[in-house]
Order: sequence, then C-alpha cells, then structure tokens
Amino acid sequence: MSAPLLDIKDYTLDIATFDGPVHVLKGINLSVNRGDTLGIVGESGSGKTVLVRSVMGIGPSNSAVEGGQITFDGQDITRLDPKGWARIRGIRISMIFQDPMTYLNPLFSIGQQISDVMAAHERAAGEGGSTKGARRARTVDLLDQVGLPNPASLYDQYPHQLSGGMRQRVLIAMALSGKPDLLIADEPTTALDVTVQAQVLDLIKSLVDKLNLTVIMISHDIGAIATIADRCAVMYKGEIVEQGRTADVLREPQHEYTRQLLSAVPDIEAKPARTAVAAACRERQPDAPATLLEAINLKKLFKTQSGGEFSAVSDVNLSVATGEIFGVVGESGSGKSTLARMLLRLIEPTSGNVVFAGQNITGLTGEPLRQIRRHMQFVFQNPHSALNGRHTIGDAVGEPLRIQTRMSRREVEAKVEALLDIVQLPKLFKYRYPHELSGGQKQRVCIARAIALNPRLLILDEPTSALDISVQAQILEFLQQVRAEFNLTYVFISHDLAVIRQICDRTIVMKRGEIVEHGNTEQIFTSPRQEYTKALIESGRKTSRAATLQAS
Amino acid sequence: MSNLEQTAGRPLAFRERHASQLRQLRLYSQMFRGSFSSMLGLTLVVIFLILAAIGPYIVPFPDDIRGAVHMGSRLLPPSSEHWFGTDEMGGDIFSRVIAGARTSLWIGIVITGLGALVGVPLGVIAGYKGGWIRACIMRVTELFLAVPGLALALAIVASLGPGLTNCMIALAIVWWPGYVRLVEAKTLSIKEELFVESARSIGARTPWILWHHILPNCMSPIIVKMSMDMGMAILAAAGLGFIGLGAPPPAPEWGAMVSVARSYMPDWWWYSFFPGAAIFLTVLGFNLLGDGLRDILDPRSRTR
Repeated sequence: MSAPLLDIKDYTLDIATFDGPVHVLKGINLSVNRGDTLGIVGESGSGKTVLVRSVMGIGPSNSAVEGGQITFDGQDITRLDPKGWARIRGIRISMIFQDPMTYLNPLFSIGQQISDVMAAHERAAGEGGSTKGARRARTVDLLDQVGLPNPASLYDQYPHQLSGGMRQRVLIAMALSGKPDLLIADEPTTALDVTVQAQVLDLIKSLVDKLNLTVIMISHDIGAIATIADRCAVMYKGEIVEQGRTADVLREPQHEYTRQLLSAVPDIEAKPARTAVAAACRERQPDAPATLLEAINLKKLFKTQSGGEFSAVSDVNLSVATGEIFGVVGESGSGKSTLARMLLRLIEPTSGNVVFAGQNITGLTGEPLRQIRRHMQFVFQNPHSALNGRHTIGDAVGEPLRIQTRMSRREVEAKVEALLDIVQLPKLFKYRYPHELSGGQKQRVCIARAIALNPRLLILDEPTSALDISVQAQILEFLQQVRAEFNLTYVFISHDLAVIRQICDRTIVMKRGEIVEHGNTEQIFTSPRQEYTKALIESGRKTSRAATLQAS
Repeated sequence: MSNLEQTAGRPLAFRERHASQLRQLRLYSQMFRGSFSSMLGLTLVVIFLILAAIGPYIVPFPDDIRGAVHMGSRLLPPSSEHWFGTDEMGGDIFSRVIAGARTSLWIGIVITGLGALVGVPLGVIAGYKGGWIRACIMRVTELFLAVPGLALALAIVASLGPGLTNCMIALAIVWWPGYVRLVEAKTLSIKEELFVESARSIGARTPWILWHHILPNCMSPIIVKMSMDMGMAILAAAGLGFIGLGAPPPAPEWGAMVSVARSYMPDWWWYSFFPGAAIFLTVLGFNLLGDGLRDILDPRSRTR
C-alpha cells in the first residue's frame, strides 16, 4: 500500500498568550489515505479548527510548532515558505469554511470569484492561463456539479442574492475549482437550517462518491460526521482521545469523553419521560390563572428598503398555560425571535394584543410596563453578547435587583451569592468578568439574572444553540430543575427539534411568520399533519438517526 | 482557573476580589511598556505635569515669572546662570518657560474637559434617542464643524475681549462638536448590542442604560480623544496667545512669548526657541500618549 496522503506525527502546537504559552495541540497523530473520509468531532476549544488550519498553513499567527511534523503526499509541510504554500493551498488542499455569509466578497459576482480562484491557481502552478471563456465554462460546470439550479445565470449574480445553503454550495464549488487532492470542511453545516443542512450533507456525500475525494470534515455535530465520514477521530482538549471507523466509535466508544458526548446528543426519536411539573405547579398556586400568556392576532410588519412591507409575524394566536413549557420551532427567518420580543414588548407589534395574567399589556408604557417586566424575563440566544463586558458577573446578576427593588447594597450582594449558588457557580465568580467565563457558565449567569426577580414567565430564545452539546444537555436539565423550584412557565424557542421534543409540553411550528401547526408536542412528532412539519422532522431525523441508530 | 473553582469561606482579600482588574492592568502596562513611542509620550507628559505642579517653586528666578525688569541683563545668551538665556526685559527664560507649563496644561485640561463635558452627554443622547432630538443635536454640531475652529474661536475672543479665561471659553465652544460626533457614532453601535436589550427587558430606565451600559463602553475612544486633544488644545491656545488674544504680556504664556520673540529672530534665537520647543514637546508628548492608549484600548488590537 502506498504512503498516506496526509500524515500528522506527534504534532504539538503552542499559542503564546499574556499568561504564558497555551498547549493547543498535544501530540496529534493522524493519517489520511487517498479516498478516505475522516471526521473530526470535538467541542469548541478542543483544537480541531487549529489542527486543520495548520494543515493548510493558516494557523494562528502567534503560534509555535513545538514538535512533530505534517507530511502531505511525501512532502514535509510543517514549516513551508509562502512560495511553497502557494503551490499547495487551494490546489492540492482546499477548505470549506463554517460561515458562508462572510467568506464571499459581496462586491464581486459569484462566477467571477470562482474563476479568479482558477486563474490564481493556474498562475501558481505555472501553467499557461486558460481563456476567460474556458474558465467561465468550467465555473458553470462546477456550479452545476454542486447542484445549483440555473448555473449559467447564477454566474453573474452576487452573494447577497443567494440563500445561506446556496452560498455554501458556491463555497464548495470554489473549493473544488483547483481539483484538490484533499478537501477540508470546517463545520460546513453549522450556520445552516436543519433542512438545508441535510441537503448540503447529501451533496458532500455524493461529491465524495462521484469525484473520489479525500475529505476531512470537522464538526461538533456527531450526526453530521456520521452521515459523511467512514473514519472519525474524537478530539478533547487538544488531544485525539479516540479514532477508528465511525460505526465502531459510535457503537462502542472506548474513551470516557466519547461516551459522555454520545449520551448528551438529544435523540429526536426518544419519547421523553415527562414529569408532571405543570400539574404540580398549578397545585401549588391554585389562584394562578390557567392561561398565563396569550397572544391575539399578533402582527409585525417591517418596512423594507425598497419601501415595500414585509410581514415578519402575521396573525399569530397562542396561549400559554401556567406551568407548562411551550415550544416554538421554526427555521431561521420564520419569525420566532420577533414573536418572542413582541410577547415581552421589546419591539412593538404592528397590531394585535398580548395578554399576560389577565392583563392586556399592549398599550402599557412607563411605570406599569416596568412593573410587568418583573414577572416576565428573557434569556437570550447568545450569552457572549448578552452580558456587558464592562460589568462584573456580580453587577450583571444584581442589576435587576438594583433596578426593580429597593434592596440595600448588602442585601443585593447576599442575594447575588444565593443566585450564583442556585445556578451552580462559585461565589467567587461575582468578581469576574464575562470574558473569563465559558459559554455555558455565561448562560448560567444569564439565567441567574433572569430569575433574580422571581418572575412567573421565562422566554428562552434558543438558549442552547450557541453552546456545546454536552453543555446544552446540562443547561436543559438545569432549566427543568429551576422550573420545578420556582414554579416557572417557559416559552422555549428553538430550531432543534430533538430539544423541543425532549422538554416541551405543547409546541407551535412556525414558517414565514405564520403558525403552520400547533398542538401537543408528542402528537406533532408522531403524527404531523402539515407537509412542512413532516419535512422538518424528516431532515432533523436524518442526522439524528445517523448518530443514534448506529449507536444502538 | 483552579483557584476560581473553590468557594472560599473567609472574607476575600483585595487581591483576590480584584484579580481580574489587576490582571487587565498588568496586561495594559506590559503592552504599553513594549512600545517606545508610548513610553516617550508618557515620560514627556509626566515631566510637564510635574513642572506644572511644582514649577513656580523650584525656578531660579521666581520674580521674573511675573515680569520683573532687569535692564542690566537684557537678551543674554544661554549660560550657566541663565540656562535658556534672558528676554528683552532681562527676565530668565528658563523660569518663564517652566512657569508657562502650568498655564498651558491648565488651558489644555479646561478646554478638553469642558468639551467632553458638553459633547459626551449630547452625543450619548443623540445616539440613543434618535428621531428629531438626534437631528437637532447633530445639525447644530455640524454647523459648528463647518466653520474652521480657530477662526470661530478668534471671532468669539474678539467679541468677548482678550484674556486667558475668554480664550479658554472660546476654545471650549469650538471643541465640543468633535465629542458629539465620536460618542454619537459609538452609541449607535452599542445600543444595538444584546446587553442593552437585556437591560431593557429587566425594566431598566433610559438614564440607567445610558449611565451603566452605554457610557462605560464609550470610555476608551473618549479617553484616547481627550489625550490627543490635550496637545491640540495647547497648540490652539498658544496660537491665540501668539496673535495676542491670550494671556496679557507679562504672564508667562508660551504662545505669547514666541509672539514677542518673533521680532528678535534670528540673532536672539534662544528667546523664541525654548518656548517653541516647550510647545512642541508637550504636544508631541500628548499625541504619542494618545496613540499608545489607542493601541492598548482598541478592542481590535486587544489580545487575551
């Protein structure tokens, strides 16, 4: 057998920081043969992106290779000069990036960007430049290959005219334009909707079969890896803790960490064992109204730049019962976040009413609105930007108390410590700043802040989508605990169907600002009535099944 | 991180409570010290600050500061007795330049301070409120920005009458629009941040949000602009002094000194050289300091 295409031996990489060097990669051993599809799974900070970027020679600037080497097709590329890289990057190894929105230049047409890449490669390889027409033909060919409709007219279109899924396809076409020996995909589906994710994964899979590509794909999503990769490696804190055939790793995980990771993946098929929290909650508060929150004909119109109107949410009616977890599911752009913000009066509805605990809060302003805000709180999607970087954690958690109550400084301090205790963070965190905390810790701080005033309703806008899977499991479990403890009612917004199924009592499915289906969560999952719901569940199932069915 | 994990039962020491701030300060000081020009700027500024504080008490000829006349020692070149030479009244230029540091720095601080005091609140309000309030504030600001600053200040001093106080008032009046522009732009971007929406969702009133969320996040560019403006304001004040609209003659003001010395060029070069050099070095010092501060405070250049 010939030598492996890519061979990484004892590769160790340090990144220099103010607090001293951080060992980002510790003795990585990995080899990829021609025709292999290798998946690398790991959570944020595990070093997977740094690893593949080192393979491309685009690692972080303040890093230093401490040992080991990377060999590509018999050539040592550990310390290559820029000229050497020019002959490899994009031609022999190319990369698909995570976020298709930011990796295309908005000023140039799609076709131009792809044919520019081709021209650059021809120049670097020292071949005579092909004609413009030939490049155009090849570009159109490539666009066709990645399954884009109408490739000839697409050539002259600009990135903003395309959807996220289409842009990712364009990036894939661009990566293929140099006919690479090795294709690296860094979280190619993370920024996309569920249905689009499934399509892009299908595309990569079919390209692998058709073009006999060698692929390294990174993802935090085991499901995505399982659909594509024959072999997979699990990374944890800069080390590869386990590698082998994907099916084997999923079926019989050897390492403790892999087992944890697999068990944390929410299973869309699992029928959750629901505790009777809602009933218990109603028992404890017999005087609480049966319906806590109601939306009547809620509508939001946004003015577009061209002067037209775009309705983000149209005629939504919903009612949330006291003590239940009410799920809102939909893809990006379906209006879920706009709906959530209207329920809290963070943005004004164009028309319609919001009724909270029997009181119509639509027309409220000033002091009465401030009073109502005590009882309904919001947990934001992205904990990294929901906390003011200039405030300590203690300030952030104590802020609602300082605003809404007349507690003395000392009482606030005591309450903050109690709250940190509830969210299972050490009291010392009071003095820390948000940037010193991990994503999961920050989300706990946000939850502590939200429950500081003992609200009755918590609206959670994708509270776990910015977090790692194992952290997501912890936060979800923790949210259940808090709910039981404080008699809370949740409105839970998510695009992740498995999570919705796991925790929500009733669910609405949204599409383009309208509710397409509503009802009992189990009922929606077992017998969806609408085509759209069926499609949504099916594509969610695809990746979920890959991860769980192989494991079972 | 390990020491963070354990929950201490005892009251915490200052060092532990402020570990984060101390670390940030160490990081800043390390970055600052790494740059030669920043350190040069800081040194110059510190020297002039010290001179401004104790200058009048350490100068060799304190009487000359208030314009004592020694006709016997007119226009002497620099010597061991008169380090910077003497002027046409026989005053010791060294003493007068050192004493001038206080006047100049005072002018700089008052002008930038007043400018920021007026400009920052207006900018924050314009940026956060939007609508017609913003339109009003910004149009007036632009009106001021459309007229050349020094020319406008000249007109104001001319109508108020010359003098140090009037000179400062005039410069402060032309100085605030810059802060409005800066802070308004910054506020516009900060108010879209999630933490501002988060504060609104817990029922924070507008003044609370402005004071606790918007303003602290505007501070870095304000500090940088203020340190840069110190130099510019000193230069502008010296300019007004040069034209004769600043401090009246016997007062030791650098601009006024250069103005008088102009007629003694080039034979008695030291008369204009040393006050001029003092202006040059202070402005340079504040500019370099401002550059250095921008480098460490700018989040884009910040490393963890």
